[in-house]
Amino acid sequence: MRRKSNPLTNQVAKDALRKLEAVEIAHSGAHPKYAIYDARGNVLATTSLRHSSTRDIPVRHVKDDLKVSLPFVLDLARCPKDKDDWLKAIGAIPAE
Amino acid sequence: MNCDVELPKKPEVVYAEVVGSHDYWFTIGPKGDFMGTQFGKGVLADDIGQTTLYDLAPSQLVLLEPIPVAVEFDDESWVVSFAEANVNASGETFQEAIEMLKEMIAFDYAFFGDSESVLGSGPKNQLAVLRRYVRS
Repeated sequence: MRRKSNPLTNQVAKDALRKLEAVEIAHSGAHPKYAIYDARGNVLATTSLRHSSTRDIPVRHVKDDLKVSLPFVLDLARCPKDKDDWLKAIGAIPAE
Repeated sequence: MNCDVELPKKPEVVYAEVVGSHDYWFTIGPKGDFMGTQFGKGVLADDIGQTTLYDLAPSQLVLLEPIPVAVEFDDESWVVSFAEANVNASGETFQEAIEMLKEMIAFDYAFFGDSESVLGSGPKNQLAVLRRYVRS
């Protein structure tokens, strides 16, 4: 069977969420949930990861939750982009 | 051997539905013609389909109207989206993805409702959409 490489894994998403200073929200249910805030404490986005001990399970939905493209999430996780870049990308702060 | 068999054209619309514990796919052709039913994982890779949620069980939330859900499969995982409210989920099986989506709809409805005074414009719009479909 043809297989695609799926770069947006649980681990990559966790790295990106760390960059965005996402806060894990305590809530019932099977999946860990996160909220991302701006500097004034406003909620800008929420997302969730799949509950699994495996680091490389795909979580392609996270890019839609964050309202950015797959390459953008990868750049967040792998360093070229930071939270300010994301805030500009979603229109929360003006782009330069 | 007869070599004149015309290969089936790629369907343009795919409708997915969970029936019991199986993932059923109803394939509709370009002219709306019924092209068959399949169930299981991986039968229609790369196609985008749609399904509808009629409840949010096990959550106690009540649906005011059915929720349209976009469905995507890419050989590795299912991605399902309530696009209008930007609530998304994925899973190894269609059922798993749908359960996660229901959980996230219930979570966003409660969390955004509790945080209403500090919602950014995106979540504010999401909450407005969710309130058109869901009530406690």
